[in-house]
Formats: sequence, C-alpha cells, structure tokens
Amino acid sequence: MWIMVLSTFVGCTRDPESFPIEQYGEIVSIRIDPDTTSFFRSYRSAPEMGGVKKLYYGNQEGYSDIYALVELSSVEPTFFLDTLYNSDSSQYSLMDVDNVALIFALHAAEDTLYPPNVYYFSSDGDTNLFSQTESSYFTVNPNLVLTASGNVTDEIDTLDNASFKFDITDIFEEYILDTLRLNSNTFKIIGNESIDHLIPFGSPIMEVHYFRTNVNSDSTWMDTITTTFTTKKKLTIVNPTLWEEGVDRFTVGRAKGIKSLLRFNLDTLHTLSDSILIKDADLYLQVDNDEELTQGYSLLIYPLKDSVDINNFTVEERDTTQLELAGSQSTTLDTTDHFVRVNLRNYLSYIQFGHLERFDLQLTSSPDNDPFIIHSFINDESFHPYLKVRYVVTK
Amino acid sequence: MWLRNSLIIILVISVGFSQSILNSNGIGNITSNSDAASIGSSNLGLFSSFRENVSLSNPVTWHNLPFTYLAFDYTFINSIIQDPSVKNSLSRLGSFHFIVPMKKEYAFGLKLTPYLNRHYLLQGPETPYSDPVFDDTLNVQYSASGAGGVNSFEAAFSLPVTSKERIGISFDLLFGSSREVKTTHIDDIGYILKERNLFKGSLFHLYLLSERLKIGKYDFNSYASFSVTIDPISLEQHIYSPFEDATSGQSDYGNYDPWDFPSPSFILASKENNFTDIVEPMDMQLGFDVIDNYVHYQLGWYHWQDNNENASNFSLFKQQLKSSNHFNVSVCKFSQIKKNNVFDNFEYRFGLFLKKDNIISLTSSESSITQKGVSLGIGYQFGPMKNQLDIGYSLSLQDGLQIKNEFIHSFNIGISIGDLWFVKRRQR
Repeated sequence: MWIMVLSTFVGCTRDPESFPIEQYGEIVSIRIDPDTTSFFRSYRSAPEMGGVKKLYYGNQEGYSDIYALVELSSVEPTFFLDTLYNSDSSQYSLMDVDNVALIFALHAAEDTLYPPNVYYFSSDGDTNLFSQTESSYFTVNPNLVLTASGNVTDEIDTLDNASFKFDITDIFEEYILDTLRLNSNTFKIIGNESIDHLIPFGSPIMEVHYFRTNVNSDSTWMDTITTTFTTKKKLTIVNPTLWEEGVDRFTVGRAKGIKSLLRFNLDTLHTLSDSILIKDADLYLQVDNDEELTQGYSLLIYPLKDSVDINNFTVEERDTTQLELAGSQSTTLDTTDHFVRVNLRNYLSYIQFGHLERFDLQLTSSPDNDPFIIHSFINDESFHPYLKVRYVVTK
Repeated sequence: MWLRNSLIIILVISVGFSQSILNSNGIGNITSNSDAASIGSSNLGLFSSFRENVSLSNPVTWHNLPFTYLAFDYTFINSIIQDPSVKNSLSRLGSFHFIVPMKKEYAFGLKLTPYLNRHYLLQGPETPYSDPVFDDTLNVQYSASGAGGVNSFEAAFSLPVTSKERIGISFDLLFGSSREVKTTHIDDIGYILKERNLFKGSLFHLYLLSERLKIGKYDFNSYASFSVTIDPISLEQHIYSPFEDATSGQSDYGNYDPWDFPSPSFILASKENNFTDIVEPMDMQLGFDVIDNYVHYQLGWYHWQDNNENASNFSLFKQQLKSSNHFNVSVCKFSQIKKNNVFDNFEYRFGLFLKKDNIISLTSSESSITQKGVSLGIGYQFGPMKNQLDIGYSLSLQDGLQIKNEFIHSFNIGISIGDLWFVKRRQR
C-alpha cells in the first residue's frame, strides 16, 4: 500500500535550465600525418582467389597458367547403378545413364569462340584444395589430371546468354560412379594458349540424364530423368609471375597476391584520457591518377595482430600475416575523384580502449572485385596518406 | 513492516530532491529544513515550531512531547524561472522522525533527512562549431544532469544538565549517491558520459537549550547547536566509458544499448576515483525565542561551512560550496493545553528568511547565491494521542550564478502519530 501511495505522489517535471556550460565539453579535431616512423609499403604473398565471384580461364598479361577448379556437390554412385528395387507393390529398376554434361555460363557471348578444356581433376578427396589460406598456384599440384573431356558445344539463347556444355559421360561412368575411389568430383577448366584474354564464367553445374525403367505387376514403362548437381567449391588458380614494387606507390591486387601495410604514429591516442570518445576517424588515400578507377572497387583494411618487418617480406606460398577482425573496415572507391576515405573509427577507438595494439594496418582488395585489377595509391611529395580524427572531450 | 517502510523512505528521499542549477555546485546544495513545521516558520529546526517548546529537529526539546511520536513529512517543490522560461516541480518525502520522550526528562530519537541535494538539469545553447580539420560545421549543444544527494541518518539523545539547561547529542551518518550525466549533442546525436558518486561521512552534533533567562514577564529561551566532522565526507566516484547514443530522439535515449558505439564488448570497465575529505562540514546555530503566552517570537542564525581547504576537483563546475548563512525571524502561535474551542487545536506559523551561499570556484572567482523568502504554516492537533497534521508553505526568490529571479514554491505536509511507549500499563 505504501508503495502505491508514494508512487502516486512522487512525480516531477524536468525542464532543463539554460546555462552556458560549453567550457565543460570540447570537440577536438586533429590530423595525423606520416612521420619518420610511418611507412606505406606493399608486399606479396600467394594469390588469394577464394571467394571471388567469378571463375576465370584464358590469358592475361602479367599472369600465366590461369585455370579454374570446381568441385561439384556429392554424387551417390549407387543411385545410378543398375539395381533392382522393391517398393510396396511396385518394383523398378534404375539403369542406363544417357549422358552427363558439365555446363557453365559465360559472361560474354563472344567468348563462345574460346572453348576451354575440361579435365577430371582428382585430389583424392582432399577437402583442403579449396581452402583460401592453403591453396594457390604455389600449393596446388596441376599434374593430377586424370582425363580430358571432349564434345564441347556452345549455346546462346535469345537473351544473348552464352554457355558451354561439355559431355563428360565417360568421366562420370568411369570415375564418379567408381565406388572404390575416394573422389572429390573436381574438374579443372583451362583455356588453351591461343586465347588472348581472360574469360570469366559462372559456377558450373553437372546435368545427369538417365533412363529409369519402371516395372510393376501390370505394366512396364520408362522415364527420362535429369538430375542436376551444383558447384560446391570453386577456385581460380593463377601464376602471378613477377611483380616489382612501384616507387612511391603502394598497391593491392588479389590475383597478384599484393597487399599493403600502412603504419601511422598513433602515440597521440595513448595521451588521450578515457573520457574522450572518438566521433570520426578517417584514413585518406589517393589512387594513382594514371589508373582508371573501377566502379564499385572495394578495399578491405584490417588491423594486424603483430608487428611486421616490412623489409623482410618475401613471396610466400601463403600469407602468414595475422589479422584482427575487430576494427576491420571496408570501403568502396569513389570514381568521381581519386580520393579514398576509409572509416577507421572502430580501429582507433579499440586502440584507445586498449583492446587493440598499435600494430599496422593491412590494405587489400576485396573478394568482390575483379581479382586481376590492381590499384596503386600515391605516397610521394604530391600526396601522403593521412588520418583525420575528431573526438569529443567531456570534462 | 518497519523494515519495508524504512526502505521506502530511504528510496524516496534518495531520489526526491528538487532540481536547480545551484545543486550542481561542489558537492551540492545544503538542504537545511525538512519538516513542515520548521518550513512554515522559516527556521531550520532549532526552535520550537512543531508545538509549544518542541521542535522535531532539536533533541533538547523532545522531552516536552507527551508521547512517542512517529512523524513523516512530504514536500512538493515548484521552481520557476521567468527568463528563459524554466519550470521544475518535484515531490518527495521530506523527513522521517521517530522520537521517544522518557519521563519528561530524557529523550531519544532517530531522524532521516536530506542533507545535500545534487538534482539538476542544465542545457547550454546550440552553437555551430566550424571544424577546420574536417572542413565542416557541426551543431553542438552541451547538457548535464544530476540526481541524488546525501542523506543524514541521525541518532540523538538529550538529557537535563540543570533544571533550566538541557543538552543533546547526536551522531549523524551521512550517506548517499548521485548520478551525473554529461552529454554533448552533436547534430542531434548524444555523446554521453555517466558518473556514479557514492558519498559517506559522519558528524557529531551538540545541542544546547537554556530556559533560564527572562525579559520582563516573558520567557526567553536560548538555543544553540554545533556540529563537527567525525569523518569528512568522502567520495567514491565511478566514471563510465563515454558512448555515442545511436537511439537519439527515441524513448530509450540516454541508455547504453548494444547498438550504441562502442559496442558493449569493447567498452572499458568503469574507472574508479576515490576522493577523501571532499567536504569537512561544520555548522552552528544560534536562536532566541521570546515567549508570550503561547506566542513565540524567534530570531535565528545558521552557519554552515566547509573546512576543507583543498577541495577536490570532482564537481561539474569545479566549485566548492564554502559557506552558507541563514537568518530567520519567526512568529508562532501554538495551541493551548486547555482547549476551549476547535480553533485552540490550531497552530499558526509565520516567518521570513534570508539565505546566502558562498561558492568558491576552483578555477576563477568567488560567487554567491542569495535566497529571500517568506513562509506560512498551520498545524492541527487531533485525537487523544495529540496526533498532529502540519502544513507549511514557503515562497522564496533565489539569485546567483547567472540565474536571476528563480521563484521557489515549497509546500510541505506532515503527519505525526503519537503513541505510548515505555509506560507500564496496569493489568486489567
């Protein structure tokens, strides 16, 4: 009862009183330019082609040995074998695989002029083949090719959608239906040396056409059936060949395996009190003016888990640089000018709060991009990367 | 039941302070008087104001009560500033008294009253901020609010020294907490820093009463009280990490939500600062009461000061409430023992007061706050146990610290319930 009575009477209205309390808060903006401890350098590891949207074959200047690997979803070989089944009053038999086709769509109709070769690529069930961090030109053995397919046909529909269809019936019957093998249903798609450009294509599917004979007590009839198996994993392999670091530039390019490391002197953050809150923190870069900007080109920037020795990087089979997901950020190049603004508020705030060490940043090309596009960023007298930080001080 | 009621009282007193910019100075604003009878007569509890020769807040007068009393006071406060127009109102439980007189010689009592008020809500003007680095302009507005304060729990005892003099002593436990919120509004997004302050300290009070003097045919009672610090008020301050409120303009604005920045998993634990001796309060009161047949003419002075010479820099305005003085003149007419008609059950109170607080800025100059007021009160005794209903009203005008002409209306209502305690009853 007391609670009800008191809560009835306890009430208030609150109007704020106007008072000039500006001096008890402050907004501070600083610009952090590179100093003698800063660097903006590129390094090279293996190409990282996992996760990219398209697959590629063909040829591109500055690269070689470009081919695609695709693993199809699992096939139950016993399903397609000639077996008699009983089911209630019916009995039926599965038999006669008619034909099997590997089909993939091309992104340009004119590329039907440049058919690739398709091989059955056995990795003996190795599921690491498509690992982003493990597989690259340097780690995949290209010699595990079992057999090549023939009978390629191209199709262009009324909407100008082009595709290739490969007859892989022999491969299907001889290898995929081989229950004694531990196979990965992996195919290698590679162009021949005469192709003068890069040909992107979509994820292949495998269509299995077969006849099923149905028998029951009264009659016998036959069905023609098509079953489709989609791509489970995919990866483009590319030999990145040689690459030379540019002067006063730092570069990203996924197929080349090029990434960049950025270091700013962030000692200022540790001089700030705990009661400040970073409102804005942006990294400003400038793309090389000689490069044509790509619409929608995305950059990823990650904090590093440990410091790196930028002068001792060598080409590696895989990148061993450890990255922090916390504080990572992506941004898209603005094609209206050559400037890039990357929001680093999380990164700098986490450093301020002590959750991240002040190690460097890694700049890399997003898997959403065409991996063969390389962009370089200026770091010379005309422009040096810089940070702008704005924080709120409450006293 | 007692425990539950006590918890409710503590809860309500803890949250129920009136709001003013003046409460943001130093440790807060002194809450001098709290019971309805004292407020009606403008005094601070030293004089008899509850009834003839009894003040609920002065232990040396408690032996004059005929029974044990349990008294509650409830306060309604309304503050109005004309320019710019600001209205604030709030209600709270003002005080709690439990008083046990013994054999008309001794008395023991417990009091729970507000001691310091830290309830405020301030807002600066919206101003543009041109950022030369980002090359843009932001609309910035600062605000600050506080809620809570310090309470006093007092255990008091009084006894006669001579046939005309009495002495009372009490130990005050000071405790309480307040929450402060400082917000920077940038383009309608709030950047909020919250603090939680825990206060504790203790005081010793000495109360004196002399009924020896007379002026002509009139009794002349002299009152005095002194307090010294046993443990200076200390502060345990928890400062939480600031955050950007993503829900600006919504109902849960000001709360730290998972979608605010930074995310809870990355925010720092609160930082704890401990300030010892932030306030070393000392106060004294002197009062004179001329009595003419149930009519009392009273003159009083109250002085409070902080003896701490090195005030800590913890408050919003980096200021220290250094001293406070309160003068009052009052006239009270109390109900007669023998009542001839219903009007003899009434008690009437009137008073004028002047209060001045001196504030030292830790960064700049000294400033003061003045409060001038008038008060009226009425009480009504009823029932065989002489229960009493009191109503007090005061109107004051407060100036200082850039606030001009703040009118404060305070309306108090108190109920005192009498009962027989420590009396041997004959078995029937």
